[in-house]
Amino acid sequence: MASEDEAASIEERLKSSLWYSIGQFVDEECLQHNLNATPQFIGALTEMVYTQISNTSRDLETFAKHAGRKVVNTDDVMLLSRRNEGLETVLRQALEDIRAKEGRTGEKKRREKFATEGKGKTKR
Amino acid sequence: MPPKAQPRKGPGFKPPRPVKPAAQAARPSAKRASDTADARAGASKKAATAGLSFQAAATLISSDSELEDEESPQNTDLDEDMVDELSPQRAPATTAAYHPEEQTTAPIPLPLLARLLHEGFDDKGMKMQQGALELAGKYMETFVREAIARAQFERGDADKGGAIQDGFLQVEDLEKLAPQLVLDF
Repeated sequence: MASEDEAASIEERLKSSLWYSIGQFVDEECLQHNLNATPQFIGALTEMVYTQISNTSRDLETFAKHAGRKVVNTDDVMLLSRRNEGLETVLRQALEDIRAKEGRTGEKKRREKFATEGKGKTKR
Repeated sequence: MPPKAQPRKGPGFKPPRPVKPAAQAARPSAKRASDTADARAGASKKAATAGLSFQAAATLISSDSELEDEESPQNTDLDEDMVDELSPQRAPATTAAYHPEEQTTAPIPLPLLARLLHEGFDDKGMKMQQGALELAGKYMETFVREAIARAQFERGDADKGGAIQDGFLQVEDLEKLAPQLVLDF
């Protein structure tokens, strides 16, 4: 009973937090497009996004488990766009950006590692 | 073709309801009343953000706050965390000073998205790669942007139909676009 209450209040707080973020984003978008949104619109959008995130997390968990992993990969996220080609191109672009970003930091690390290894070899 | 009448097991779409009376609202605010003084101030601020008027209940509740003092510590921790996250950002939002360069990022901050996603995992041992989280952030950003863009489109249609052209996005716009949007994502 008490834990049920607690879970409900945690969910409530998470939703409040989401509401705030979505509200900020909607306000910003509206400023750019010379629009306005009713508070009810933001609330309904929050509920929709919350539900979508819940569904997404179930999907991601299922995808990862299907691949026999306990860690969600970028491949699992890409699978979310399997029914929508436009979305797939958007996500693929984002994935490339993320990879490029990671690659830059990763390459730096690799180069440092190589340099230290090289030193070790010349010593030998 | 027989229709596949197997609904998803996820939580259903609940449209916003009117705020419940103080009797129900008293519970969360009682928990907040047991927090430190500054956290309490922040909490009521947060309640105002969410459009839930807890203030009236908070004054009622302060008398029996001793009863609620044995609140589990992680709960109060969480509350303070969220207050810390929210209250400093709220001030610039309400003032006229607007910094678009700060705001042009995702609609959902990644830590919040991570928390929400982990909340949805059945297996609590499930983890996410950082890249996967960023990609999921892009996915949700696209979802929200698409929702707003389609609502704008619906509003344009509705305004052409006649009546008032105030350009306010309404819940009914969202109702019209929601089925197709969810099918597309």
